[in-house]
Amino acid sequence: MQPQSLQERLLAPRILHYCFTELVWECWSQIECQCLPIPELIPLRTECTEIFEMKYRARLLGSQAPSHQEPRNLESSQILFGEHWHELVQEFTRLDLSYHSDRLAALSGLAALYQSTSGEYICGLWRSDLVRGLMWGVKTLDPKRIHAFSHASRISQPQQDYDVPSWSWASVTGEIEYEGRMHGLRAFESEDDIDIINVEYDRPNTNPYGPLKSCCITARGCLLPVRLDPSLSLLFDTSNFPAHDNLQQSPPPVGKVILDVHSGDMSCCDIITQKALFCTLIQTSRTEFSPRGILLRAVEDKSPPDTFRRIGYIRPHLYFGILSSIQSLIMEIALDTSERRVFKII
Amino acid sequence: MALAKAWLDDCVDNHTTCRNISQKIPTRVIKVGSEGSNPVLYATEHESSPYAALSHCWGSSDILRTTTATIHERKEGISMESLPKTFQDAVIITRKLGIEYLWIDSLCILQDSEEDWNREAAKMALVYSGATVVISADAARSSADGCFGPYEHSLDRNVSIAIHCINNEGTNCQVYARSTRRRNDQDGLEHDIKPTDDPWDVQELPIIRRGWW
Repeated sequence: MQPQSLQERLLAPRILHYCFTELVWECWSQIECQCLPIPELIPLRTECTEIFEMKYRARLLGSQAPSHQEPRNLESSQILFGEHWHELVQEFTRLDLSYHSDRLAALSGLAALYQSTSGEYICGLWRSDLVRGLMWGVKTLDPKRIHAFSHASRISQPQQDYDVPSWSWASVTGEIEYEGRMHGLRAFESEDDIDIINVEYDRPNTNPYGPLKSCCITARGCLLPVRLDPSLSLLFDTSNFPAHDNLQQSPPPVGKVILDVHSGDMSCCDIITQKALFCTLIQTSRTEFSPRGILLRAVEDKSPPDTFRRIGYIRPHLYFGILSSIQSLIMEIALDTSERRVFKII
Repeated sequence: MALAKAWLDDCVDNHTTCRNISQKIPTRVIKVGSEGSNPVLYATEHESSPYAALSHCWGSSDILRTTTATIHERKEGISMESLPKTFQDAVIITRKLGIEYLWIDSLCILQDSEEDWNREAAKMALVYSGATVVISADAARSSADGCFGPYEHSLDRNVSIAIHCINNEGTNCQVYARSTRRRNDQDGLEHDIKPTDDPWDVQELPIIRRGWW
């Protein structure tokens, strides 16, 4: 599958697929393929099966396009659009097998199509949907599936020489996931924990739907100093971090981290000993206190003070319901005592 | 190819739901010409005409592009030999489908003009929605790979062999067998399972059921 193919699949009425083993016809009415002359054998998995499945997904996506929605009010239509866009991005990153490709360029046609109704587009996210747009995480592969997708590009790695801010999903390779309806997190029932004050970037002189130079979010929110445990998945409040790394007697973690970049590519020791790690909350569900946030790392170069780069996505550590509520309580207390401040994410 | 042409004709003639939103031809297209002639880059006059569009992966290989320096040369003609394999195949497919024009991003958008890129990239969505057919080189990793997979040169994929068998209940039945090729995890080729003379093998060995069907 091609990275661009999602875009075309939603737009083109007729596609002739030259697959590895067969020729497949896909139009809005039907799918035909070379392997079909023996209809009773369809259940066997071939390349066309994937196209059948994709067609179904593409239809689902198409039916949710903003033009088909009855706008109830501005806020709800924006949320619906956001969810629709997140699904598109997920599907796009699932298909994108390329390693070094310019992800944003491959999606620019769709972005341009939506731009007239959806406003400002910034490196794969929409200004009107920026808070929820930050709630992506790298898809963690089931160890059983790693073999099937042994392709190196399935593993998230940083995009090299590419002007995309760390808070955009386009800054990494591999498949990403948005937390949405599938995880019972309805945007309608959630509250933003972060205010986006401003987004700055250099005006592009080439493709406005591509990478943007010097892209920076200015936000107001709580910053909780945190540390990562050696497994690089659990996050502890710095004040509660167990002495001598004795995790057995440690307090419950404040959350579970999904690092944006495959940990094999990072200097692990560097991250564990790194003291300048902070957690900031993005959104909290109103019905249960289950905050989602991002893990930030202070930038110490020539950037202005209070500048951070995103390095991971934080979810409640849903081990058992009980643990999750204890840790939520800890987080709540910790955040209540830390003041809201203004900071930049690049 | 005859099969692809039949699918296309059937869709264009009979499917009421498969309609192009617009049929406005892109700013520049490749005029594919007839077999033996060289394709040329053609600046359109915004006429309405059927065209095909290529969907492909640029890959890491150095792709053939049109720039402000080469546009005039491209309009004179582009020799088939200079085209990367995927583009050559796309030209051949377009001709055989009886379509006159083909749109390929790297050739039809000036790759060194910011102004052109801005204008044309924004229209990309319209290019795909307006194309009579999109030729999708799903199997090609780069422009050097070509559209036609190795299956085009191997056994005819439409040939299936009926093997007469007797099932466990003692009744006569038929098992259909056909060669398959699939990509294995290491991106190499794996030619699945050779035919067997003994139909009992088909029933008894699960691996054969997987490879032959």
